[in-house]
Amino acid sequence: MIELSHAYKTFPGPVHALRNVDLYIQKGEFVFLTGPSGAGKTTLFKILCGFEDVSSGKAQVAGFNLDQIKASAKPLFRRKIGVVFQDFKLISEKTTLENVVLPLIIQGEKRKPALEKGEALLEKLGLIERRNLSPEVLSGGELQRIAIARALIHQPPLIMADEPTGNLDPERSEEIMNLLEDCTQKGTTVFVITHDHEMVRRRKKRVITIKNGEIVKDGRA
Amino acid sequence: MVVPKKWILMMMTTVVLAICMVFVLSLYLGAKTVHQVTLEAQKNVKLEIFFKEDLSEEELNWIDSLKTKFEIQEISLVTKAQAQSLFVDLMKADWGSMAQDAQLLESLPSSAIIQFHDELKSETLNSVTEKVVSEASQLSNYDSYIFQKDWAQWLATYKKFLSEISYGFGLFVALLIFLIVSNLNRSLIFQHLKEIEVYHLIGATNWQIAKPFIIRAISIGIVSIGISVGLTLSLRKFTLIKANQILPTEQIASIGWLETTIIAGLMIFLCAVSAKICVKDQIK
Repeated sequence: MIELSHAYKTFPGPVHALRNVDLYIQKGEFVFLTGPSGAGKTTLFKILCGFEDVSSGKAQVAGFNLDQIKASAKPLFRRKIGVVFQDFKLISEKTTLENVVLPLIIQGEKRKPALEKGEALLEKLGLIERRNLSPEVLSGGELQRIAIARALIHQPPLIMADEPTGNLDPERSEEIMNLLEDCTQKGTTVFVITHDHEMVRRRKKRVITIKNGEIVKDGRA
Repeated sequence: MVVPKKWILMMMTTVVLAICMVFVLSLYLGAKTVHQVTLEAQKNVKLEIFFKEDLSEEELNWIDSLKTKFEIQEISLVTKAQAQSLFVDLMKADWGSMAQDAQLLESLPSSAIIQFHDELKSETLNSVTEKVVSEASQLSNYDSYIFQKDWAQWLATYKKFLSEISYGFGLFVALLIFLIVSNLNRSLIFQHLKEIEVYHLIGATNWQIAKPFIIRAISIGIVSIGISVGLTLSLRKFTLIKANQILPTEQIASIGWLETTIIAGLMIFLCAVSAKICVKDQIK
């Protein structure tokens, strides 16, 4: 599902954000990415999401060669992944439900069945009563769950999450992680950036640790 | 109830565009009217010529051919018998006038019009009119045609000038519309930057992102063209009354469906292109 080979990312300066990263993640795997601030987690995350290009090396994600991808193909690639952003990136002019079904609408699904799917997912996440509210009036935890719902709604083969439990209490964090783990049962690959070492230990999943732009550890917690 | 800022912006843009289009349409109607009046002036020349002697068959045929050849609507020939009859009428009506006309009748050259018979064949309408009128003026009361020649000439001169001004102003307004719609779109895009970013990140194509802005711009174009056509037609009614007082015509040009469609199409195209360029610029 994800394959990085001798991947480098250098920003003007020059700042070497990633150095010679080799990474292979299979379909249906659940992977945590950890590391200190400035280690290159976000850069790696952005490359895997197609928001940044590698400076050199190969990057293949969900069947797309990201090192050679054309600008016109990028939207198609982005539809293959579900992304949970750290700052949620919800649209305040739309209702919670409209935010959740956005990926379906973008993929051309009719509004009515899309809304029905959205309601079913919100029901599952305990947010059905919030469906007609603007994200502006929701709490941090609720926003986080809405962002996750939006990433899950179109059942992508790859889910990328940047600190998905950062704003949640331990109970809600567990719920969210269970939900993401459930996705792997259906063959979805889940890639999660986190600082929550306690949760990483509990989950006993593959953990990749990155430091100074290099993968320093890759194994089970 | 607070009206959202974007609605105020859109309404203001619509009004400004409508005003611009009223200017364009009015200028267009003005130019079209002058064009029509000029054509009418050149075509509807009527002459009334007195002749001392009755004309021969050949002369009558030639004068008749003038009508079709130079699009002179009517040439009235007053023959010797008719002139004498008129003379009697004038005599009865006004002694002073009678005396003058009697003198004129006496001094008329015999078959004067024949003298420029051959020249006329290769002359343009204006010079024909000039010659016919010039010759006729020596004969008698020649000025019973609808448009005097100086009117036709004046209009012909200003028709060219007006059409050049119209093209120039049309281009200027097209640029203005482009800038106004661009400005609106930039403001709207600025208000929706976060939304655009989200759409972009979750896989929307550039077209999907641009579509709402283009639709909005097109809607504004349609509404403003509707308003401007309505305003121009109202203005036309008012102008018609004023124009009839100075123009020797009963008609002011109107806007046809084809012209409206072409102008509206151009305007809408400009709005759409402007929106597309703005959004593309922002997505980059």
